[in-house]
Amino acid sequence: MKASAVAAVVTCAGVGLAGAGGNAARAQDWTTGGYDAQRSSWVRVEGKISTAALRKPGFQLLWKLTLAHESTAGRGVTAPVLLDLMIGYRGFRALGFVGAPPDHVVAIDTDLGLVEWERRFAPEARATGGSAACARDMTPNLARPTNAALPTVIGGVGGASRAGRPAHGAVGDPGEGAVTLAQVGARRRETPPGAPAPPQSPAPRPAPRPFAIVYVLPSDGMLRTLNAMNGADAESPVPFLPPHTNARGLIIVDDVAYVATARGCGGAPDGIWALDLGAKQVTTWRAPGGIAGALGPAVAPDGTIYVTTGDGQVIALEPRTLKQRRAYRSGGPAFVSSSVIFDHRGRLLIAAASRDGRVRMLDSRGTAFIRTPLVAHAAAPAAVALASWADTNDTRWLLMPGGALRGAIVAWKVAQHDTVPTLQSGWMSGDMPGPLAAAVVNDVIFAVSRGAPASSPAVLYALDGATGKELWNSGTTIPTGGRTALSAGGSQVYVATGDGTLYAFGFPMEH
Amino acid sequence: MSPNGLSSLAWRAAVMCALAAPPASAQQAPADSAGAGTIFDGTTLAGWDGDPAFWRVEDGAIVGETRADKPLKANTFIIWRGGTTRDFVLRLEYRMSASSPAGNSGVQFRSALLPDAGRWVMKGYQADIDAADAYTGQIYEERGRGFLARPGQAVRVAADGQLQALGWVAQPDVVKSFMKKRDWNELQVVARGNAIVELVNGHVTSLLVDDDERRDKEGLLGLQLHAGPPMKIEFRNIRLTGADSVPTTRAHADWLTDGGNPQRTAWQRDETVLTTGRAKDIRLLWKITLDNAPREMHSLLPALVVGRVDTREGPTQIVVVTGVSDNLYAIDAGRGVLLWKKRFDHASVGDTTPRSGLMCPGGITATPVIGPTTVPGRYTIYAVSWDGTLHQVDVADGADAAPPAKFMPPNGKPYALNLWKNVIYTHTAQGCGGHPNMVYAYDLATGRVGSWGPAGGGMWGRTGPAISSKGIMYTGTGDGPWDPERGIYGNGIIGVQQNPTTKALELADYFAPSNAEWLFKRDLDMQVTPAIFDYKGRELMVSAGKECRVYLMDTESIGGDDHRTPLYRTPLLCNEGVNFASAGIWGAMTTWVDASGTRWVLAPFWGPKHSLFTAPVVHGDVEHGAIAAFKLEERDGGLQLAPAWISRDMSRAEPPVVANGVVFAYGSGESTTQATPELGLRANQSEVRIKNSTHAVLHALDGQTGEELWSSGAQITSWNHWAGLSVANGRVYLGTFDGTLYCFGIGP
Repeated sequence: MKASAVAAVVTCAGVGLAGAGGNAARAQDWTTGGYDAQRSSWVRVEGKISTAALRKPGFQLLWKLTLAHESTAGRGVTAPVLLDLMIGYRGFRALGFVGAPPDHVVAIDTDLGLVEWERRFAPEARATGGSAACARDMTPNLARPTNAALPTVIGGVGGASRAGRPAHGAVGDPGEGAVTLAQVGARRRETPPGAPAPPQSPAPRPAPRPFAIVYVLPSDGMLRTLNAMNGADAESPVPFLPPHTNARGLIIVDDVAYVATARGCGGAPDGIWALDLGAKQVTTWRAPGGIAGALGPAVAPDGTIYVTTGDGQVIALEPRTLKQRRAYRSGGPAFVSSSVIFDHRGRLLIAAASRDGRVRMLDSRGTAFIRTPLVAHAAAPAAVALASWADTNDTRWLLMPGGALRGAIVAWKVAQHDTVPTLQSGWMSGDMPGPLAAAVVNDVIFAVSRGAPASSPAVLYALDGATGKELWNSGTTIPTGGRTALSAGGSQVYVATGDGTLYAFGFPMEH
Repeated sequence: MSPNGLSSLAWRAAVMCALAAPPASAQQAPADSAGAGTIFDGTTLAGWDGDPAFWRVEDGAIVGETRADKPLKANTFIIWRGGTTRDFVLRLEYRMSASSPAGNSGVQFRSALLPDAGRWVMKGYQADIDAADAYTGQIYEERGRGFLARPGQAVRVAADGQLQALGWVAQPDVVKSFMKKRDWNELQVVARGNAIVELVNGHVTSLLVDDDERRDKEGLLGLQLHAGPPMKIEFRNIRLTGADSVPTTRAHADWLTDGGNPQRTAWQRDETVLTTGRAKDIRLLWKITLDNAPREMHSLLPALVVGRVDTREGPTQIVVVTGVSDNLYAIDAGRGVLLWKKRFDHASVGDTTPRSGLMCPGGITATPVIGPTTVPGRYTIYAVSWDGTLHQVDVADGADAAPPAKFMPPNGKPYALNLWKNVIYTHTAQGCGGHPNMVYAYDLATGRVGSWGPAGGGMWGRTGPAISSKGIMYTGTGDGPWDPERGIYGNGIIGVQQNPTTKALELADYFAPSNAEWLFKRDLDMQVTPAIFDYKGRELMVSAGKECRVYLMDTESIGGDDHRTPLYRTPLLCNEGVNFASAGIWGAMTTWVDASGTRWVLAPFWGPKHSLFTAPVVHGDVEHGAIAAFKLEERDGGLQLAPAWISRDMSRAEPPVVANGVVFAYGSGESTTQATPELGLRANQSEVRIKNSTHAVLHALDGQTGEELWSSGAQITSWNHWAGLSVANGRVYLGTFDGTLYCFGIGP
């Protein structure tokens, strides 16, 4: 069993195991839309995927699985939320949880491409309120508990961090036993006093569970807490949203579920919703200008909720209560993407794409936005989310889909002018019709061209994060695109397509 | 004609008879390059048992010495443990120190021990020696009838014990003249039947015709160091020839280590009582409930058996059982009664140490190993207690055979000890006590401990490491990634060897299955103790893991040039569901050779049989576990493990042992569930699993067919975890969680 440098170290015995799979999510799992609480879409500590590895043969389609019913094809399935290590009653599993219409949740063994379990919730009912498009959008939202802290980059690319120090040996002095015995004594002498216990939140907390859970928000608006092992209810469903809303970006941070509603579906106002999982209380913040982007709220390390709106604002909300802390007006047109939050040399920056094709960036401590120039030949931006990553030189990159006439991925660098962060042009990928928000795995940019029209093939591209140069593409492996989504983890990249098929790409592993 | 009817001619005839050629039955004392019948190697006290405070080897001689500052309160003896003397010819040289005017010594033969008087106290015939040569050349009986034939005398002891002088072989003064003062003298004792003749430097010095009904006709041989003023006596060139002595060469089988031998074959080769034909007669001979307190799910470790131990009560077959709570028990195998108990002091870790869950129970986790001493009939238990200390304990009485010594950190989890050429090997797993998982080797000669860790992998083969003929220790490494380029050796097999000079442990060889990454990801550890065996001049090894395949390797290079290529890999036997618990091969492998020379390999597995795996003989559906038997066959220019039979279903089949064609296997009855949908990994707590465990069942199977010959049925009322089978001398031993040791077998 694992001995890797992961947050939740589990020590397996031939006879037993110590805790794993509880409520605490592991940083490297894709637990919500955009990977982490900051919606960076940057997967770190990836075992095998790197620009060097992608330059060599081997990256390929591993499996595909059709999940959506024919009658619901075209509404697509969600990109999988991942649980790379679950110790379940049937064994160690790497699972992906996918929402499929209508109100269908499927857990997939992502190593084998086999269905582990599936659940169906409330029968589909006609949406009340909102546009006719509401019904098409009502695919269950899924999420796993997510840490608000910035994910830590552990080790380097290529799996170097998977274990500690290499094999070693030593000889003890005669009569003194093994050197490890001497080390025990030294360790005792050096043991510092215990650290004080972290402050406890006054809010009531849900009871810890002995198994991993996945949260599902289907069309009836009831938040389901499912046992990741078998999909059974871990507790009774809790009312969260009105039925048939268009929910986006479900995320669970610090025992609070957040989600955005849009398009007025289900008669629900556009805004941010919070469900305290301990107190079972729902709080709402209304967004007069509507919620921008596909990923809903982004959460800063201190728990502050950032939301981009259709009237060009970035709103900071207090966690749990959703009280508005601050509103930042960009002075530009409406935002079209969710916000992405990242750290740049000690500053917490928030960025989003605007309808004019620019990326606007805000220092959380300031009020002035920095904006990029207009991209040449800019078309209507496709951005519904940005991605952000940092290379080994600590250069921070922002990635925006849709910056060219036929579509492309545009990369910006965050630079420093005096003490003020600025954005500099980085690179633009080749033509990529209908690009989706990119996912970054270490230093490799994965982007999907969903094709135009929707019936045309989708293509997954792997780009060199430093240059945008194409490293690999999936060719004609994915025959249709449509409502395509992307996630990554466990050395695999997943593409969910509009016809309800999930594709897994990666390097083969002998089973 | 003398009054007793024995003429002087008669005693002369007796001398001639005694000095005649030895009987055709021949002597049993070992012969070596030092000369036929040599029983002292000139450099060590191997085969001799005496108080080391008074006996030593010096300049090719056994030296017994007392000094003013180290006096001797009572006569002491150094006893030859290579056999017993009956009819024999003994030749040796002795020298009494000039500084020992009152020195007294002698050579015991046909003698017995007096344990109540001391560990090294003898009674019986003695060829007497003294510095003044007042007694040298006479036949005496220590702690018995006293003077029998004084120097120069020919004596008969009548049936009623009366001494009758037959005459003189030489006058006492003449006898005295045979002796060389302060120099080496040759002493010779010839015993045949009732006639005993003693010679010094080639001259007959006394003759005894012993018709006493009380006389000892057989007994031990020893050398005496007399109490009294300081003295020094030396003996060399000791040869026992022409004798009809009865050796104490092992007449009984032993099971001195987990897995039966250092190679961990789990094959009792010396069994003669248990046979496939008699297996139906197996019954519960006895059971004994010990006072060991379980820790977590651990209770009794596998029993060890010494077929014949010299104890104060005489030769005894002893079963040594270890209880996890730092207990050692010695049980009389014949009667099932406790002989002694020893509890190690664990005050430094014991009650102050919080338990760390099922994986790290604390206490003794490594089955001890027993090694013979230089004295035949005496054995030492090597055990690592809870606090990481190495103990050496006398099997006979539980006394410390050597002071406890530092070995490894406390609260660790070492696995069954293995003893190879005076080095104790073990390995640890699960990081218990917060310590890294390491291989350890305690060098008994130097007290140095070598350690080596494969980084990432815990080593938890149930019966510890297996050791090859080259002294390479092999173990599986579960729970870690395989990345040898970075010095990380998880989920493979490593071979580690002690550097004879530095005592450091060094990596000698390594192997990982080609799908090691998958094994790591799914926790399908390579964690089964390998078994090593000879096959047509090659030394092969088999091992396995939770994935449920068996690997065949050559110890010359266990993974080939790329360290990924075994000689052969079986298909999956079980674990179709790719589970980490309650499925797969666990514990240890077994291998044996039948009468036709066929090499067999046995693998125990848990859970249902794989739907694609089968064998020519299958004994019903397998749901909970079974034994899979393979024959080693040469096919297509290579070696293969050909399935032969699959046993009946067993509740978690544990590693089998083989004795005389009978495969003994058992289902432990243990609940091995580590996770449930409701409890998750909280199901892997002792209280949950104990509650869900049932009882063990022992089965005797025909080694050729797997057919069940006998079963214990419901006789075993408890289950076990981390126990194991032991077989010796017609008895099979199995301990259970409730502290009961069961002995099944074919009794008298």
